[in-house]
Amino acid sequence: MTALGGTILALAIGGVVALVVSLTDIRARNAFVFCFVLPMMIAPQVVALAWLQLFGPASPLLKALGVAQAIGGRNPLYSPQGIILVLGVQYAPLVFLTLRAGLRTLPRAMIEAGLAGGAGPLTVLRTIVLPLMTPPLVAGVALTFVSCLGNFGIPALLGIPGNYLVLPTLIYQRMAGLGPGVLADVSVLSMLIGFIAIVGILLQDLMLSRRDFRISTTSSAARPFELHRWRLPVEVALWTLDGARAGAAADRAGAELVRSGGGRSAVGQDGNARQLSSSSCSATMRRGARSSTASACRRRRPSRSSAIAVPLAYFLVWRRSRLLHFVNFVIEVPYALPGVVLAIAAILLFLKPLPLVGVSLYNTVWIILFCYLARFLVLGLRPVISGYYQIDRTLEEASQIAGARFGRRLVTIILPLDRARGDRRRAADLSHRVQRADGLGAAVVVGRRNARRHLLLVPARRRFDVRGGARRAHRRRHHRADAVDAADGRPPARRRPSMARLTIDRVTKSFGAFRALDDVSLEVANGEFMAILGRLRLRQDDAAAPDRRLRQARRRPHPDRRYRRIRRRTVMCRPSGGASASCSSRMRCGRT
Amino acid sequence: MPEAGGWRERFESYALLWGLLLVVGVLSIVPLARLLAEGVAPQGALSAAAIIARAFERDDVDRDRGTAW
Repeated sequence: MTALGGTILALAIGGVVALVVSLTDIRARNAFVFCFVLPMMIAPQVVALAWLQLFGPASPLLKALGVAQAIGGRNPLYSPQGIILVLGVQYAPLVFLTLRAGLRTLPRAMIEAGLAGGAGPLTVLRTIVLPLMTPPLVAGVALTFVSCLGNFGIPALLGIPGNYLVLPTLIYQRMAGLGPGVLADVSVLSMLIGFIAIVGILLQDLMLSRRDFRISTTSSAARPFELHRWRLPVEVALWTLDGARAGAAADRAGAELVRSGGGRSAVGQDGNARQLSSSSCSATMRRGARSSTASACRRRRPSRSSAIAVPLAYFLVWRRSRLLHFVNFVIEVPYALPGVVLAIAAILLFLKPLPLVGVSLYNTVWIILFCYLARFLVLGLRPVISGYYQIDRTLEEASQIAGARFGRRLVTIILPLDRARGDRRRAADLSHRVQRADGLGAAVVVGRRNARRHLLLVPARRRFDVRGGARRAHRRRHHRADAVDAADGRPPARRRPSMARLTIDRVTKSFGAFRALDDVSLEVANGEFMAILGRLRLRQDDAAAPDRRLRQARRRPHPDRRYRRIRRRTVMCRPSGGASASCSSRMRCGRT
Repeated sequence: MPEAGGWRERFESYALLWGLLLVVGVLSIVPLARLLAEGVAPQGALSAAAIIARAFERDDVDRDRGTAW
């Protein structure tokens, strides 16, 4: 119940804050985000102690308000409601981060269409923004639920004094008791946690499978809603919330850190700090505070588990099978279990030397690495999975039909798209990688819908490879410059006067009697990815062998009539599809 | 979606899939299986005592132990 309550509270706090921060024009956004996320990097035990102090008799805030309890009174946080409060506050950044990552990729065109249609901001939020943000929201909620379920520090510090036990504290209690059957008992309790976590993941899966959440447009980020006279009150409210969370946690962590530094500060004279130092866990808490502050200040590096998460999420979302379904559920369980239980499982597993090699991992750094990877793999996996739900798969299908193999597709199509869905600041990386596939090549792609085939002409560079160092370096320079603008949420500015990289003028293409393209003109700018979609009708005899028919179509996508302009140079191609004398070798007609 | 890449495409795809499953299996499934084995067969002897004890244990017993802890 506390896990569920904590999740609901985290959803309320994290969801509202993410919407306000991402969709409105509040100031000092980056500083606020940093302060909001900061407490999550501090150990839960330290956060629980901070909140205890905040609600205790010595609380400066409550004293100032005149509602502080008398000394010796029962702290109101020693209760299930207190656990729910601290769990919700501690894990709100999980919902916030996943939802904000999704909101940063929210296409501007859809919101502007809603506003142009006469809808108010709240209607747009309810009917456009929230439905599109379901995958990141559900992923954040699932992560929060599992985190609350497996959290030990907060229920231990707040629940045990209040005589309220949850599963992790019960496990620790059993382990503290020791005895012959302790491992069996712990194992059964752990499986119970795992079962509850799997039920949560089942619900998440059910919610995500009921609708299509793909976002196919790549328009720039949505323009923030203007709060006008409400901006200052909203900012004050947000910073007050941030101050209560970050201030309390940082105060406790910082105080303990300073106190342990050789008595240089008067913090050591504080009654609460002395009380804490007299407890048996003081030294541990000091170490925890020090490491928490250090980890909070350290620059976070990309998780190494993402090397596993990105390809694994591909299979879990797009190639579903019973085995992968099972893996999807099981992978969540190690994160839901208390860390010490996973450590015991690893010890049991690696106590004896490994078969064949005869090496024991026990008492080495590798067993720690194993436990970390096993426990936190899901943290890298869930946001990636939510990104996959929003990716339009047609690009990957196009590259497959164009001849790109699986590894190449993963690196040049899937990974950039997923990273773009996950974080808008990496838009430069997306455009850099997608640019590898721009400009050249034509592909015919199949999608299955009502036994019809869809034709997709992708201006993709032939076989997706780029050669020529100077040209590539030139592009990188331009994309770095674009990245600066994209990080600010503004559309990338053109560094040069508008110059289309590829201009197609009045292209006509027929497949027998069927005219697929009729006098089509378009321009593709530098870094832009464009596709033309249409239906390819199959004759009755082709339906028996659609792959053969499509291969034929792929080999001969010669326009019947077209005029093309490449880098301000007009190229006219002969109707037969052969290259004219002015075509460059890289962009040979008939392959584009 | 048609498999347009032939045997090499399929080989790459399946090799990556089974490689990932191997990693996930070692990281997630094997420790859990070991833990489960300890639950149903403590010290190698098959026994449902722990499960039964947990199923029929009363809440007030837990509370008492919790206070002691």
